[in-house]
Amino acid sequence: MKPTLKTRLAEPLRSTRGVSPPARGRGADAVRQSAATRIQIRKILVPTDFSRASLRALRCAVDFANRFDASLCLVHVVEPASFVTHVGNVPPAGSDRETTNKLHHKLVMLARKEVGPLTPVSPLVCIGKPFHEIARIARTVDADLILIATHGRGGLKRAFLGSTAERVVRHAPCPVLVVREKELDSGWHGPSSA
Amino acid sequence: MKIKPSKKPGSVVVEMNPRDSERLSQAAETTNGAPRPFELRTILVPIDFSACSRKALQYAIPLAKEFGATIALLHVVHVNYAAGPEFGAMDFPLIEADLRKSAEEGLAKLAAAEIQGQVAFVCLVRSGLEVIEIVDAAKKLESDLIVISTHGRTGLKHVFMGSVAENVVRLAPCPVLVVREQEHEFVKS
Repeated sequence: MKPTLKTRLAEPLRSTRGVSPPARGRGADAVRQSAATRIQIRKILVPTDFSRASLRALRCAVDFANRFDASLCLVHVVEPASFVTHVGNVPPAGSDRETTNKLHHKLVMLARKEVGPLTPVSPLVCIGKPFHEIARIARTVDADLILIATHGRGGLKRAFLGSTAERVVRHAPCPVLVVREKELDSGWHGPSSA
Repeated sequence: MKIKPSKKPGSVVVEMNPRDSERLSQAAETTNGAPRPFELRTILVPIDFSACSRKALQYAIPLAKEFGATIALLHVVHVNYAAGPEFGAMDFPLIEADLRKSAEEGLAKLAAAEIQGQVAFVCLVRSGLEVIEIVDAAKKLESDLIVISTHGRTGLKHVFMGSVAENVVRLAPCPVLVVREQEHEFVKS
């Protein structure tokens, strides 16, 4: 039942997308432009830590997904308390499995709440170093874009709390869009103001 | 939702339960609804005339087209005044003026070659330290996005050569799209 619903809904919507240029500022020359370079985003990877900043990233990703007909891959990475060997994906055992299940459920709930019914979402919980796992998943799912939030800490705070976003930028196999929790005095209209 | 053929030829019966109608109304909201979390009006693209920065521009153009935004090309001239008298008498202001002039010409040429009148653009030349000038320009222009490229160095190379892109990510007032020199691409020609 699910796939039929999706295909039935997706088709008419895609066609309206093509014929409603005024809403998105594309004129009659959209047809001509489509021959030139264009954006093809099929899969957006959205790492989340359930913070407010990452919620903002998720909302931006949903908007991007609607705009470019992309699917989302919502990822939460759990850092294990002790990390003995660096063997990639450590198989969750015992209590780890329990927390993973719980987090997976939380992720599904978040996806259900924030993502519209027409955008395919695949929630994913991983265990490992966040930046390492994010880059690895981006490679495995062949993501076109990583949309990540940063808390935008500077100076000492940054040195101690680290920045996963920064490391993701350095290790990612694809373009990374970094969104800030609070954009400083710019003309940026974030989801919180909308 | 169930769709069945009806007794009348050429028509169907659509059975819906409340959950489906809820989903449909939600779908209508997401496609027609006014709230668009991602609005772009100005995209700042720092250019250092490398192949890498040209790629950032190639990403910015379709984005600007999609969102109806203006592209601001920025080149930062960095004259090291500290490189002192051991090189003899140097007229630093003259060097800087020279560099600025050639940068302006270079930006105009690059814009003509890459943008080809597809989107509106402005060219800016500033002098100073790259990161500070880029961030300051983003604030002044109230830019909504910075598209910047990185060489993607890691490890020792990263420590020594630093990364303008990384510092921009940290200090920028707006979202930053970081594009890599060699990577998986989403802009197709």
